[in-house]
Parts: sequence; structure tokens; C-alpha cells
Amino acid sequence: MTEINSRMITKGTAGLCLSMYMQRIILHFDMNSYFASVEQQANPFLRGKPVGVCSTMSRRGCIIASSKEAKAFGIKTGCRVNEALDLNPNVVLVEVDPPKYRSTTKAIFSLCAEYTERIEAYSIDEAFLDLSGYVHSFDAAKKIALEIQQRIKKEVGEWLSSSMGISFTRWLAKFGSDTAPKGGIVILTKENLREYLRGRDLQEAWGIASALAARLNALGIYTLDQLVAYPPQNLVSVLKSTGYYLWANVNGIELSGLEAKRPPRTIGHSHVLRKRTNDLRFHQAVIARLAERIGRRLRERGLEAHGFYYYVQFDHRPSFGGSKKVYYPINTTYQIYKFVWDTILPVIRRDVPAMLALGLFGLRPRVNQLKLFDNKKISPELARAIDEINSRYGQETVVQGPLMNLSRFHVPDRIGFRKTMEAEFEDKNVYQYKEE
Amino acid sequence: MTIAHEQPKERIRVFVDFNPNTTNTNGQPKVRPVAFVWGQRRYEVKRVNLIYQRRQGDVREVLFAVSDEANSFVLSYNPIRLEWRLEEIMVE
Repeated sequence: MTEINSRMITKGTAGLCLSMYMQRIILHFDMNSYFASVEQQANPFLRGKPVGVCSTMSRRGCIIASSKEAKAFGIKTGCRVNEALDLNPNVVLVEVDPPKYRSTTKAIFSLCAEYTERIEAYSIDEAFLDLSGYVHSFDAAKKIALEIQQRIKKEVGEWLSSSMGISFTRWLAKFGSDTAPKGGIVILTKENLREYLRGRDLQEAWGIASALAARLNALGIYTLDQLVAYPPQNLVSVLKSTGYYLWANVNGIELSGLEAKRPPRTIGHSHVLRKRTNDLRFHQAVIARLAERIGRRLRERGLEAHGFYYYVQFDHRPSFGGSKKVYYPINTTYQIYKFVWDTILPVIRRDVPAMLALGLFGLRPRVNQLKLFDNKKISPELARAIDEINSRYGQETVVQGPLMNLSRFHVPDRIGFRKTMEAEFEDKNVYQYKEE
Repeated sequence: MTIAHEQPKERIRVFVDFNPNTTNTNGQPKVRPVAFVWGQRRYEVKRVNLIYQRRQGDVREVLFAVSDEANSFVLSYNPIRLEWRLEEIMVE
């Protein structure tokens, strides 16, 4: 063995020893009442008042975020505008403003990236930071957490606050921040974990909702510390892998680590129609806009799809929906629009729709293979050229015919839920955990 | 109760302080609107509450949510056209 090889092995072994003994430290932060807080940050006259951020400013609209003052009156996410006004006629209603929240999130994540490059952007207002190796104790991690909280207030907005959880697994870090007081920090170590879980209701845990809680109750498990102590083999026999994941998570066994960027399983959009009409041209335009959004997202990720799904909701009759797998690749807006429109047209001729949804599944990396037996030329290159024009000069600079003249108030820009995190940031530098 | 939103989106005259001694997280100097003129009236900006961006095609406009003692405004700056606009006024 040469000297160089022995040195390399020694260094490698030392590295291995270091990683074996390196304390794993994960921080999770969750901005408090985020959209409403950002609105209160932007407009100081809203501070201290009950504020509801609405999807649309109609009585049918939905509250998608409420300030802590509004929550005190029972105005929560999912509440209809008319219900919110019944709960508190003085609630201030503000229409959702996605660029404001995306930009603020970008500033916050930028700040966090100064502490570690291993960040998982979990949603528009939550992220995991892997501080392992950057700090060597939970106390040092807490100092970083406090510093991040203070810097967000100083550099982004003084009305913005966050709850933070610090622990040795991803699940426990999020559990900590979920159960922390607003603006607080919870640290969960192997030593204090059991005590922290003592007596806590099952549904305080991330991933346990009422249905799963009922199944655990049937096993005699009512609190999280009871779940910790329950024999895992019994849980697995009843709940299969779900039982194991639950047990492992509350016992501090790391199952996944920070999640690397993954392609989505589906891409879709839905829209509650602002007006009830039997004007087919209007519905055609809405479908065209939804198809354009979906097509753009598909092509930006370099994907093609092999299935469509669609859903139409009515006020006074049963909904209509379905899906179809196809053998050929879907990658143009026109394909999406044509299939969905042809499928739902007979149904919406008969009744007035209230909500339209469509999407794609069977996603895989685009291979650019043309159909062998096809008379029509479907041009992915044309679709990409149109995307580039729209990127440069603004959305819908070039559109399909049915979409012309559709007001921007129909199918407006909205923030998706966490699965659409990649769609929220145009710059591809957003912060995802990089695999070594 | 709803906040009354006017959205004039009119071009306005803005007086701006570029101060290299203050920085945001990206280490770029802070740009602070100090006052603006809309209609016949000059409004003094007491606070810059939030700075954010909005994309229009390739162009990133910068928006400033500002306020004086009684009102809240959103001013936008287009770096290509080099113009300011009054985007929103919010009054109770």
C-alpha cells in the first residue's frame, strides 16, 4: 500500500468517524399566519385587526389565510367570506396577492441560505434547514434560530414572526414547530422527547388526522407517549407500513431526511368560476387558460404526461369527472385543452358549472418521440417557442384563440399548496436540498 | 369591512433616497421613496413597510408598500421604462 493510499484511507476513516458521531440537527420554521401577516406588514393600518385574505372578493370566496386576531373569532382557513362576516362583521378582507408572498418568501429563504445550503423548501411559508456539521449542539442551533427570527424582523418585515422546531429528525423538527407557541422555539432532544410527548393528543402530530386517530384509539392509544411505548410489531400488523412510520417518527428514528427535489406525480389546476353562466365561449376560454398554465408547468420541468384528469362541479347536480390514460406523450397546451374541452362539452351544455378542474398524470422526462401513425403534426417546438415569448413579454402574449379577451379576473394567479413549490419561484436557484 | 382599494396605476413623480450605507440581505443598497406627487398633492412617505417584486415577462418591477400618517400606498418602479407608478391606495 502506498503512502498516498494509506493517507487517503486514514482521512476517509476519520471522515467516516466524524459523520458517525456528528450530531444531526434539523431546524424547521413555519411563518405564523403568513399571508395575513405579510398584508399587515405591507399596510400597518391592518395591524392588530382581524384580517382575512380571500381567494376572491365575493361572498362565495374562501378565506385562505387569517390573522391571529381573526382566528380569535373563529375565522380560519377554509371559511367562506359570508361566514367570516357573520363571525365578525369588522373583519378586513383583502384579496390574495401572490407576487407579494412569493417575493417575501424568497427574501426569507435567501437569509436562511446563509446558514446552510441544505434547505428543503416545504411550502410557501415553511422550510427545513439541515444544520448538521454547522453547529454541534442544540444550544448553538437555538442561537441560529433566534438570529434568523430577529433578522427576518429586521431585514424583511418587523410584523413577520415564525415558530421553530429543532431536533435530530425531520419529523420531530416539524412537530416541534407545529406545537411551539407563536414566535417560539421548541427543542426536542432524546432526553426531553418522552416528557414533551406526555399526554399530548394524537392529532397534534404531523400526519395523524381524525380517521387515523380513531384507528389508534381502537388499539388503546390515545396520546403520543402511548404511541411511543406501543409495540411496533403490533402496530404494523394492524396498520402495515403506516403503523411503522408513525412509531418510528415519534420515537425519533429518521426515515427520510430532507427531501431532495422530486418531479411531481400530477400537475393540475382548478378554478371556482366567478360567474354562473351557460356561455360556452366563456367556459372554453377558462379551460384554455387552465390548460395553458398546466402546459407551461409541464414544459418548464422538461416532462411529458400520459394521462388527463378532469372534474366539473355543479351547484344543483352531481359532479362529473374522470381520467384517461394515453399511450402518446402529452406536452402541448392544445392537446390538454382539446381533450378536456371535447370531454366536458356535452355535460356543460346541459347545466351551468360552478367549478372546473383539469390536470395531467403519468409524468416522466420528455423524450421527444413522435407518434408513428399520426396525420396531425403536434409541435412541442412551437409550444416551447410560445413559452419563451410569454416568458419574455408577459403571460398570454401569445395564446390560443379561445383564450383571447378572457378577463384576467378569471383563473387569476394563485399560490399552490406545497406540491407546487417549484412553480412558486421562477429562478431555479431556489433552495432545495442538493444530494451529494 | 373591506379595505377600499383604489388602483390608479398612474405615472407619478417620486423623490427617492439611494443610500449605500443600508443594505438588505442581498447586500444591495436600499432604495427608499421619500415622497411622491399625485394629482396636485405631495405625499410624504413616513415608512417603507415592505419591498417586493413582480414579474411582467422579462421585466421585474419593484414594488414599495409605503405609508404616511393616514394612508397606505403601493408604488411600483419599472427598471426598463425608468418610471414610477402609483399602484394602489388603501383607505378604510
